[in-house]
Amino acid sequence: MTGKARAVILADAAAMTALGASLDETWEGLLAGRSAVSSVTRFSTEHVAHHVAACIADLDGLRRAGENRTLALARAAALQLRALPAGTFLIWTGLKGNAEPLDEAQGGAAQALAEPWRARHYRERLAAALGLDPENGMEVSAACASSTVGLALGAGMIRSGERDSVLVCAADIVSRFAFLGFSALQALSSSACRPFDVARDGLCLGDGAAAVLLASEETAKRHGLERDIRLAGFGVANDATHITGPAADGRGLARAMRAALLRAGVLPDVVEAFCAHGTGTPYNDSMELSALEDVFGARRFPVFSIKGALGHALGATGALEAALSAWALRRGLAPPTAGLLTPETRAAGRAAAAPQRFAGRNLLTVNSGFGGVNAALLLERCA
Amino acid sequence: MSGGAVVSGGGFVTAGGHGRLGEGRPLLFPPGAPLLPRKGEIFAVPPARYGRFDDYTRLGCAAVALALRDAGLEGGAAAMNAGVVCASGRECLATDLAFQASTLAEDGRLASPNLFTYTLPTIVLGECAVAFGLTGPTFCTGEDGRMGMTALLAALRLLEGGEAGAMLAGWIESVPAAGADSPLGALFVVVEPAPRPGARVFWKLRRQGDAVLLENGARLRSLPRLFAARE
Repeated sequence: MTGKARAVILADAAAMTALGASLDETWEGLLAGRSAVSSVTRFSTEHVAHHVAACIADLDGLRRAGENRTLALARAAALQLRALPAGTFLIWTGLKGNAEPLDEAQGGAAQALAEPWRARHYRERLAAALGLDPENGMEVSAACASSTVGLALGAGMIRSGERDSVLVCAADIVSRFAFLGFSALQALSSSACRPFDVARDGLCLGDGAAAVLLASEETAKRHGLERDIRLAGFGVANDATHITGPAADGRGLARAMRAALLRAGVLPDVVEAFCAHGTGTPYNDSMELSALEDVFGARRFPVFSIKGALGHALGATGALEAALSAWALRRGLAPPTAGLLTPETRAAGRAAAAPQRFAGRNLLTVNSGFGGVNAALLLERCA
Repeated sequence: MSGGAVVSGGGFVTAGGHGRLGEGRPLLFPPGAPLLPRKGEIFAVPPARYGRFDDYTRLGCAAVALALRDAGLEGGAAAMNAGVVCASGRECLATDLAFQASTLAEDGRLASPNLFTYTLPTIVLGECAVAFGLTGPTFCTGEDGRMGMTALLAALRLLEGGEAGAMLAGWIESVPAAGADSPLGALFVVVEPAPRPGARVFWKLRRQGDAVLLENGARLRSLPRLFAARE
């Protein structure tokens, strides 16, 4: 990269989740400690051992002609953004766009139904709905770190001066395809997602869409967008140990976190709050605590997970968490971790069932996924 | 915005067989399923889970192994913070369909956990990361018809940003388009920010916005072009 690196501003964000039809509503629900996890009625779970998820009640009501539920959810969320600068580069980070059509497919028709719903098609259709150039964008898939990796790539483009604005957008819904898959892997909770709890027994899936607009300082100013939150650092790393189980020592996540801090030019001491991937599976949460101890030692500061409240929105979860982390930074308030009753030993003094105050200057948000991928973003609030 | 990089190796698997950049074998796409090489031909130590891989993963892993061997990095990628980016159109659709079929019996009770794992398009990259010690960024990009160029562009951006010491960039397609005769196979190249002592340099590349330029200033229009003879 040549020249001076530019600041990357988190200029706007929007979301729709099972906890609220906007980012504000979702934040208020989180802060109140509510959880949207309840019995699944979208499809039958009668013959499997798991029965709960965080579903939006009337996804079909969002659909316009030619849309499926996933695309409708993404479009409805992204249209809540206040402004989209001309020339915005769109990165689509939805995880498994063909899961929804495959849910409806029987036998030989499956491929024909699934093919028109590849990631590229979502991006092109969303770009058209938002008035953006369908040729100006890309798709990124990195399992449950998809939108975090998308945000890292987008930040790199703005930092280098290649783009002035990048929109990272994703939606994932609770599909029968994904639900039965995670159920078969014994990764789902039998009752409720309890991140960092001694009795946690798995994740809950959740419907969710998020749109995060990154921009250069000049572009944000020109469009009257927020300029108080910077995406100051980012890092992506692979465990290189196993495809579904995280490295027990959290080595990949720790490397991603250190890379984010290094890029921001700060020491670990500045981090005041941590938005965890926090899926509520025994292995993931333990791995995250190991990575936290590796990077931050014994220092304890607020750690939270939103997945007990919203469920796990797969490819969209990183963007959702980045957006909600910006809200947390502005308020100096880490939301409660819904579902948490008794923190495991290493989480005590970090994760809490009540909101936790912090100074509101720096927050690290992270995600990890199958395939060993890890990604970390450092958000910084400017005075 | 622009940046330079060198291609230090490459490998491919198609219905015409397999090969490496350094061997000079032509990359052809005859009709039919890719001819996967035997494990012993491509892996010094085969991946532990190779027997469980789906075709998409075997194909990608074989091409990555050939590319790393070509670059002299078969056992040395771990020290370089190397990553891998892959473009694919239909990704692991055959496995998606097989998993979906497994969910139809007994209302989902017999859904296959092993098949489900391989319905993620990035699992192939995870298997490569485990097998070859790739600790850098790993993700998939959408395919735009230029057979891996979206992955190469992403890889070059990561190198320019200092986010990896080397990147593999490639393309995998294991499922033909519905009702169409489309090329199948996998190919990967190793790109590095600068020549490595003792390593060959097959191509020098330069990124200019969304274009990748060859040394002579010509625009690279698809990844397979790197396997063709220099003009």
